[in-house]
Amino acid sequence: MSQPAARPWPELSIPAVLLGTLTGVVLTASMVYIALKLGFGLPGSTVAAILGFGVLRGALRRRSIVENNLNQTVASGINTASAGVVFTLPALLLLGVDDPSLRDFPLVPLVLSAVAGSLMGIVLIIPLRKQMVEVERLRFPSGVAVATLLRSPGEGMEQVALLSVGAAIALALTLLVNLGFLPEDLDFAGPLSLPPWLPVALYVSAANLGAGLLAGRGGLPFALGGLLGWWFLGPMAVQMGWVPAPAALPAAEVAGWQAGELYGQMLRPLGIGLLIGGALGGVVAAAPAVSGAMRSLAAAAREAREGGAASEELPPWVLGGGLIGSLLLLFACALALPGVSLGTAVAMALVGAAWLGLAGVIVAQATGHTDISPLSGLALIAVTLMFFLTGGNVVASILIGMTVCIAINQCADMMSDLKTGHLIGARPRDQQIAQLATGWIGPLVAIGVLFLLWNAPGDGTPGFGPQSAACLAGEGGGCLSAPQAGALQGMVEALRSADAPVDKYLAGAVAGGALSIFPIGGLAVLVGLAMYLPFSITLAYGVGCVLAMGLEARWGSAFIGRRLVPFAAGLIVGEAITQLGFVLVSLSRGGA
Amino acid sequence: MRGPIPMILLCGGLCLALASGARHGDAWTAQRADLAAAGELARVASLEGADRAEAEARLREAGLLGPAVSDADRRAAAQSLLSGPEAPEAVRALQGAGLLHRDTSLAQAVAEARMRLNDHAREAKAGREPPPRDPRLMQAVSDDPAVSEAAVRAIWAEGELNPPPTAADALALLSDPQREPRVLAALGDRLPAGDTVEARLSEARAARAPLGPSARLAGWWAVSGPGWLLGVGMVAAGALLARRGGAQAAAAQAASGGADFLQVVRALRAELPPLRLRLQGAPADDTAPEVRAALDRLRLERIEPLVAARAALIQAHGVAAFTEYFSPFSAAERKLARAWSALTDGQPAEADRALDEADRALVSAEAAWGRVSA
Repeated sequence: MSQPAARPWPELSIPAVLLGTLTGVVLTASMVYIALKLGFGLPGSTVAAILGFGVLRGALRRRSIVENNLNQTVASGINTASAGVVFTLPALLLLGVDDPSLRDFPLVPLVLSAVAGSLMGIVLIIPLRKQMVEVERLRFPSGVAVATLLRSPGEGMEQVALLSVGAAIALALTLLVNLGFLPEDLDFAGPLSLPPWLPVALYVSAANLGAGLLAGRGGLPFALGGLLGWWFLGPMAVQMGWVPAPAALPAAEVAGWQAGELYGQMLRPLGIGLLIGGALGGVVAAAPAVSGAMRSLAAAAREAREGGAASEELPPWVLGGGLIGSLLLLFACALALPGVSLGTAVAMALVGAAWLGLAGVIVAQATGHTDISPLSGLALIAVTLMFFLTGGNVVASILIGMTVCIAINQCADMMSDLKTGHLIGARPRDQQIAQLATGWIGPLVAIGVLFLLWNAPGDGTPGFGPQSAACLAGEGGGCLSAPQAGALQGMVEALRSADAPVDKYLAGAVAGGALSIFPIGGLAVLVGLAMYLPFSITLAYGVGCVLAMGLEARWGSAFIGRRLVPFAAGLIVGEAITQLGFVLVSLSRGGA
Repeated sequence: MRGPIPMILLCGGLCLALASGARHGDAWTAQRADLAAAGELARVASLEGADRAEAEARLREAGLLGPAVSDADRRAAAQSLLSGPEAPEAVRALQGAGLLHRDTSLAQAVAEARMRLNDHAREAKAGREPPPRDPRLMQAVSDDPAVSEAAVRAIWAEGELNPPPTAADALALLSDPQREPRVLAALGDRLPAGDTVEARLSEARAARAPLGPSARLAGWWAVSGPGWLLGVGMVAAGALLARRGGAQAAAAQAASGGADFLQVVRALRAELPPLRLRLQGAPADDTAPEVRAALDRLRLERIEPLVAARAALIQAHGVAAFTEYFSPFSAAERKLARAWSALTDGQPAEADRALDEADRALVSAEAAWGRVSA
């Protein structure tokens, strides 16, 4: 029936894996530096896809959308470890500056546990592909944006033009913000004479607006969760006198102090609790679907074997083997740490893996709905769990925290890549093999670069952090302040003084569990995420959702598919590329 | 149950549960206020000059800092101190601050005497004429402590070595208006200072022990427990009612929903053969724009509306059964996307294979639908 192909249509190919690996390694090294300096990393998928156009389609004349998708899958899978490492491991190094007992930790278990986390994240999330991509139909705005980018050679001129217009708007907006012509938040509360605890502000981000446009009605609970938190709970708490300002505070500073307390001590921890409860409830609610998906995986593998064809998915025994292998590796790493007994190591591996799976689901769902990941909050919970489990062993807690952080980032990235693959017709199995085969590279590169920077002064003084020579000297360009690690360091210090907001976690978790009974998938996760994030992000995202709903009501769903999706994808792609370019240029000039 | 009741229960319960959850226990709130006060004290402590005086005045007005002691009171206290038994210590403090000269101790004076005698002997040994030997030096190095001390005091009296300053010297300093502030500052915590920012700050830091998890939970439960429990119960009840109402509605729609699903699957299957026929004669590198346009149309007009309506199917059949027939349908959707990508890259043969696989996936979906419906 079918014609013999005149030339092959490569997918899982050596050039794609090599280019993806090279891009991933360079991106990882860059992102470690950028995240230490600025406190956030940048996704690598769009950069890798554009490089793929240049190298694979351009220089090598290999016309294959699915091969370029493989390239971006590998690159982003490697790069995703950078955030996991940078948000956690530097905290251990920074704590060691003041506490010599935390300086001597074994390096090999550290590296191996990072690798175990990376692999475990991938094998744990793969079975949920059918549930999240096919049943729940999570949006994964960045995944959609990358798919739109990959499909652009075949789209009509109108779609390509819309993608370009979106990217150009994002470029202009990002530059205006980065160069200081526009504020990061458009604040309306000041002109309206509203107190800071009743915020009305829009986060100026094309990507955030694009994510809201892509989410449409599905993202509305996220915006409503923000309104519930900031326009109902916050003002009510202040009016009821639940946030008493210290008498010592000057009157002009009272409202600002109350806003900080509302966010840091009430809404954010409550949001983390909701995320946990919502994810747990979601896992229970999705259990039949996951079980059905697993049966479907097994059946597909069996049919493929009988039919002599390759299965579309990795078989369950590979995933099971990968899970057991990485679990054993994590256990061995825990056991190799000083002060960890056999029983504690078993508990660390099992509880760590269980939390890792749950947190992976939370992050994948949050990313799937909104493109925003509550990574740091979930890493903090992992550290808290391990801190109590190990009786206050800081090294063990941060090691598992790092493992979890890397793993959950892998979960989100793998699922986003699988969404991209679904939209362009890639084989899930090839993407899964590629990410599994290269998932170990990212942690090695990220940890290597981190230690290189830490030891850069060569005289035993810290290479980054507030106490590094460059930061003490006030050298803006050379100072790597490691802000995220500073937050984790503060959290560990709070744990050591038994000051974690357990009441808020518990209250939020049970409410989130109850909310997840409601027949709207991911409702509790969305509300929790909205309370966890600053309101300006939620509100701007909500504006995108409402705009998309209005456009759909006016011009129908076909308009959304043909016009709005490429435009919104352009906003996301444009901001990612501009932001990366801007940061690299700034860093090369010694600023940022 | 349909209607507004589930939503009212859900929204009301969520507001109540989260509001109760957000509230802190009284002990924590009080401690937090103390911590915030400590933060403000630390800020004030870092100020200087007029800013510091202004900030301290504000703190005293707010009751966070007790009254200060006047300079007259402090001067009187200093006079009393220098006239009492603690005078020697106070004098040493003033010496330490450089306000009184450092005295030469008895031991130092004896060592000095011995050195001078040695110099005398060395001069004589070198054949030079030594100055006349001072008999007080000989007495100063005497083994008899009383003789030694009397000789040293005689030397002090002539001003050749520094005698120890006395309380009277210190009191004289205090009467000098230029030096008085420095004397009062040097006597520091020996004088009543009133309430100071530093003292309050160290107190606040010392009292910073956190409540701990169980005390924190107990405190929160005492103020918020019942309201929070009621709110969570309302959320759960509303969600369960909404779930049940949704299931009933979906069951009512199941027939039409089923017809929709089958219709879409059959319509898709019916559209594939002409597309495949078009591709089978296609030369390599043919991008077949009309086939890609048809695939786009199928996605937008057939597949996406069904995907958007999947909630009714889930309600009607349950998640597990839905997954059984929707999973092969999604596989078909992915294969159609694959055909589109292959054609974009000029691979009609690969696109044809993908359409074939899509067709087989649709057959599986139809069969699964039959099993579930039966």
